Amino acid sequence: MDAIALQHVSFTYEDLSHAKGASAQRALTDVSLSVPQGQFLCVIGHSGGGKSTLLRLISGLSLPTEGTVLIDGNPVHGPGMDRSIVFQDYALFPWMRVKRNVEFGIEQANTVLGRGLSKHAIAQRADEYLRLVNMQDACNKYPYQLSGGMQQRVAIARALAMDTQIVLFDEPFGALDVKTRRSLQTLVSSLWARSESPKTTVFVTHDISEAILLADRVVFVDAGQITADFMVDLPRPRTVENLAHNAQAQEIEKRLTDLFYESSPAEDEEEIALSLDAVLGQEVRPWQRF
Amino acid sequence: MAKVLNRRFFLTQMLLLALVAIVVAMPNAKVLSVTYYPLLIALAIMDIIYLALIVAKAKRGIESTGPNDIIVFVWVLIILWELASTKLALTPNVIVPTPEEVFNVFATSYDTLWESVVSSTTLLMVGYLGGIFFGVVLGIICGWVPRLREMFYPIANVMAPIPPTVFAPYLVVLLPTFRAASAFIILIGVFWPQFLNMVLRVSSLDPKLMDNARALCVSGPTMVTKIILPYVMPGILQGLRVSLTTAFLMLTFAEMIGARAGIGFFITNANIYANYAAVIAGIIVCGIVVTVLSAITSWVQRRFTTWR
Repeated sequence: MDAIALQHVSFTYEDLSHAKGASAQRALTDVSLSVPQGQFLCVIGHSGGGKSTLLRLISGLSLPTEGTVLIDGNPVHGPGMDRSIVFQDYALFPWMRVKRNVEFGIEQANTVLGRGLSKHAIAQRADEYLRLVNMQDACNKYPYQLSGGMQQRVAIARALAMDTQIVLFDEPFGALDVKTRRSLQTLVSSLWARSESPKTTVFVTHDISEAILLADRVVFVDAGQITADFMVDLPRPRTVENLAHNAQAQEIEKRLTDLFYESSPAEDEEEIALSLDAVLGQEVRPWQRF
Repeated sequence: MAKVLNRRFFLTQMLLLALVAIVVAMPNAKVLSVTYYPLLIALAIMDIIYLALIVAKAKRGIESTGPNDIIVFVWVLIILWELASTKLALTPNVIVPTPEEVFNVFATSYDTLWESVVSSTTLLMVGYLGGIFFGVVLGIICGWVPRLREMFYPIANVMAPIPPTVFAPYLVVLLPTFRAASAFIILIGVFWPQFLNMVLRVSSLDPKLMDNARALCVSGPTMVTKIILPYVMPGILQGLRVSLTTAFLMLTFAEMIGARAGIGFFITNANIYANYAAVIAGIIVCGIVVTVLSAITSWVQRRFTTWR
C-alpha cells in the first residue's frame, strides 16, 4: 500500500482579498499521485504553482475541494500524528526554548498516539535529536537568539523526534543563504539515509539542485497540475561536488531547468499587468485596443 | 567602588551637607511650631535610597548620570524651598508650608496615612487586577470567535473612549457601597483598553503559527495554555504600566468625590481645612505608592517577557 495517495484531488480556495476581482482561485486541478513507503519525493515548481497547496493537503491543514487524500489507505480529515512538518517561517514557537520546542512535539505525539513516554524519556529523546542536528549547545536558547539555519535545524530535530511515518518539508530552506542551505541539505540527506527503513518524505522546494541532491523522485507542479514525474536514480550519498561531474545528474538538471522555462510562470507579466489594470483602469495595455 | 566615588558623588553629598547646615544652623525667619527632625530623617532616607541606587548600578556595570542628576535636582529644590519659606520668609504663610511642616505630617499622622495607603492600594488592586483579568479573558474569547468579535469589537470601540469618570456619580448611587463604586470605576477604566488590545492581538495571531500548532494536533486546553496565552502575554505585559496609571487616576478621582478613606480622601480632607502641609505630604505619598507599584509592574514585565 502506498504511504501517501492523492486521488483526483482538486483544491479551490476562496479569494478573500477581492483584489483581482476573482471570487475563487483554483490551486490544484485533478491531481493524482502515489508515494510508496520510504520514498523521498521532491515537489518542485514555480511559486504560486500549487506545490505548497499539495503539501497542505497531504498534511491535512487544508482539505481537498474534490477527491481524496489517503495516508496508509485512510482518508485524511485533518492534521494527524502520522505526519510531521517542517515549515519555512515560524517553524518553532517563539515563546518556547529550543529544547522545549522539541519536547513539545514529542509530547504531542505521545499524547495523541498514547505512547506512554515518561517526562524523563521525552527530555532524553529531545536531547538525542538535538545532538543529531548538532544543536545540543543551544537547548536553553529562545528561537529569536538563533540564526535562521539553526532554527531550521531545531525544526528538523522536532519533526524527526516525533517519529512519524511521514515527514513533510514546506520550502524549509527557502529563506536561507546558500552556504547554510548546503549544510542543511546534507544534514537532511544523511538523516534520511541513516535509518534502515527511511521515512516517507515529501519535500517542497523551488531549488533544482536541492531536489537533485535529495530526491528519489521529482514531480514538477505547474498551474495546479503535475506536468512531469520522474525518478532520480543517482547513487547516495550525494554531494554537490560529485553531482557536478555526474552526466545523469546534469541531464536531470537540464530537464528540470527546461521545465521551469517552458512552463507558464504563475505570477509574471500577466499578473503584473492585471494588477496595474486595477490601479490605472484599462489604459495599461494599449496594444490590446486594436 | 572606585567608580561610585567620583566628583559628582561628592557634589551631591556636599549639597546635602549644605542643606542640613542650613536647616540646623541658620536662624529661622518664621516661627515654627514643629521640629526639624522629621525633615532630617526624610533627607537621610532619600540619601540612602540614592546611595543604594548608585551602588546597584555600579555593581551591574552601568554608567548612569541619572541618579546623580536627580538627587542634585531634589537637594537644590529643597534648599530653595527651605530658604524661601523657613529661613527668609519670602513666601506666604498658609499657602506655602515649610519643609519642616510637610515632613512633620509624616511623623504626626503616619497612622492615618498608612491606613489611607492600605485602603487605596486594596481598592486599586481590586479594580486593576479585576479589569485586567476580565479584559484578558473576555478579550481572548472575543478575539478567538469571529462572530463575537464582529459583535463586540465595534461596541468596545464606542465604549472605550468614554471616560469612566462620567459614570462615577451614578455608580456611587447605584452600587451598595462607595468602595464597590470606586473599584468598579477603576475596573472599567482598565478593562476596555486591555480588552481591545487582546481582541486585536488574538485575531491577528499569525496563521503560520496556527498551522504549526494545528500540525502538532494541538487543541482545547493545550491550545489556550501553550499557544494563545504565551502569544498574548507580551501584549498583556505591555499594557500593565499604562493600565496602572489609568487605575491610579481613576482611584484618586473616585476618592476625591465621596470617599471616607484613602489617599485621595486624605488630600481632599486636608484641603478643606486649608492644611496644605498635609496636602503636599499626601501628594508625596501618592508619588511613593505609584513608584513602588510601577517598580513591581516593571519587575513583572521583565520577569515574564523572555522570548522577544
